[in-house]
Amino acid sequence: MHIQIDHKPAFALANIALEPGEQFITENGAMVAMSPTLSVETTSRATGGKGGLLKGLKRMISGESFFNNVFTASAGPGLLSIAPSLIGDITRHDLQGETLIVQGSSWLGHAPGVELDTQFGGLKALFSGEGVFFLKLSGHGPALFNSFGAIHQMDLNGSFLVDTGHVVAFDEGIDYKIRKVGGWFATLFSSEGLVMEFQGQGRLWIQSRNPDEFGGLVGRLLPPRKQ
Amino acid sequence: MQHEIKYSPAFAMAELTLTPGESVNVEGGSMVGMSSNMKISTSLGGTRRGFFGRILAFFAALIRKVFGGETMFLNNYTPEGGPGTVLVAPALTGQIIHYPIRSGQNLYIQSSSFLASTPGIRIKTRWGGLKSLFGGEGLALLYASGDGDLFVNSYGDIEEIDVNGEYVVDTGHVVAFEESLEWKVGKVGGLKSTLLSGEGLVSRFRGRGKLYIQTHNLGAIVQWLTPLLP
Repeated sequence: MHIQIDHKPAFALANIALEPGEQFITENGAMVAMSPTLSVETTSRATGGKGGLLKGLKRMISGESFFNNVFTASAGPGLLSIAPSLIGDITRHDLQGETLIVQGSSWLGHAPGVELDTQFGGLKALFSGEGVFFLKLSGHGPALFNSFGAIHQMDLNGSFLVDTGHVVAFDEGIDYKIRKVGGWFATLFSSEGLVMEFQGQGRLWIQSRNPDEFGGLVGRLLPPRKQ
Repeated sequence: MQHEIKYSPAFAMAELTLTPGESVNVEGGSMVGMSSNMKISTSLGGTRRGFFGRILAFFAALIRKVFGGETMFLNNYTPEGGPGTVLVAPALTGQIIHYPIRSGQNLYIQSSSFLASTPGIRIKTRWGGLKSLFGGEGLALLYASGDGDLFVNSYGDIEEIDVNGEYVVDTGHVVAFEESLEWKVGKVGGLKSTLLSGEGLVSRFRGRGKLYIQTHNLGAIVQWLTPLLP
């Protein structure tokens, strides 16, 4: 398998060259183009392994879709091109046994050696506005995640606060909690609201734009829906 | 305060590093992330003290909110016990530019393009008059004066133009311009081209000074999206 990411950072597109028999799992709706040698199977299972219905439901709650697509180079080598729905960057991360926590809508795809699971973020995540579940990527192999805007990687050593709408992914070892941005007045009127406070050592990826903020700004200018 | 603008032009984000005693005012909702020693305080943005000053600040903020399309409150960030960083980015996809305001080099900013400024800069709402009503860009321009660092954002990339004489810009593309320029909203041509050219009303600048325009127009994307809504 060879992965090349083109047109970074605004319009990133991942071109994945698959050898015969190789597979790649993607988010539903991410496929842009593919060779006729590829076959696609739509499943609620993570990697054709255990799970099924429950995993699909959990993924749905986490902000991803119920179904994933599994592409297989069944009739010879082939090329699969995938892209996220929003404009922005794609980051490749090769897992070597560690675990990454990924914000629901940022997961784009992975190779079969990677296990995708859903993690209950606890009650604190309920208030984060980012869904109750995070996705959990573990195992070995390449994984792709996408951002709205550019991806800003930070090597965390200590603590850092991030607006909940800008979180993309972080190493599992990093501790986090949801807190107010400041006092009650600032929390209510700053338009910043709640933030995630990350604590510890590891990598943290954030996106330079916030989909909800962008949607809110443009949405206010659109006419109301007809009933 | 040190600054670095990253991921230009499509997804620009400003990394502002402050030492204790320094602070920066940021448009509400623009904070991406910050060091945990940064303290945030939210104010109406007025500079006058006392009860009367606060009332004034409240109404100025209300005017900014209603006519300027900005949030009512400004957030002030200051580090405690050591240097601190705050990352700021606008909601729209686009560029950020740094414009140092020095005495006498004041700047008019299209109201939604304000991103951040250091405390030495005064930001006032300027009533653009009826002409800005017809410009379709909200009723208010912001006027930045004083001394300090100003950060302005755009939808799309920013083109800097040295105006010497006269220059015409689609009003939806105006980001900011220096005080030395005279400004007027008018028709693009005769009645026929105003109605049929798709250009509508334009801003005419006259004099000498810098003009900043954006490559994209928020009104255009809104117009394009509207018929696609269910």
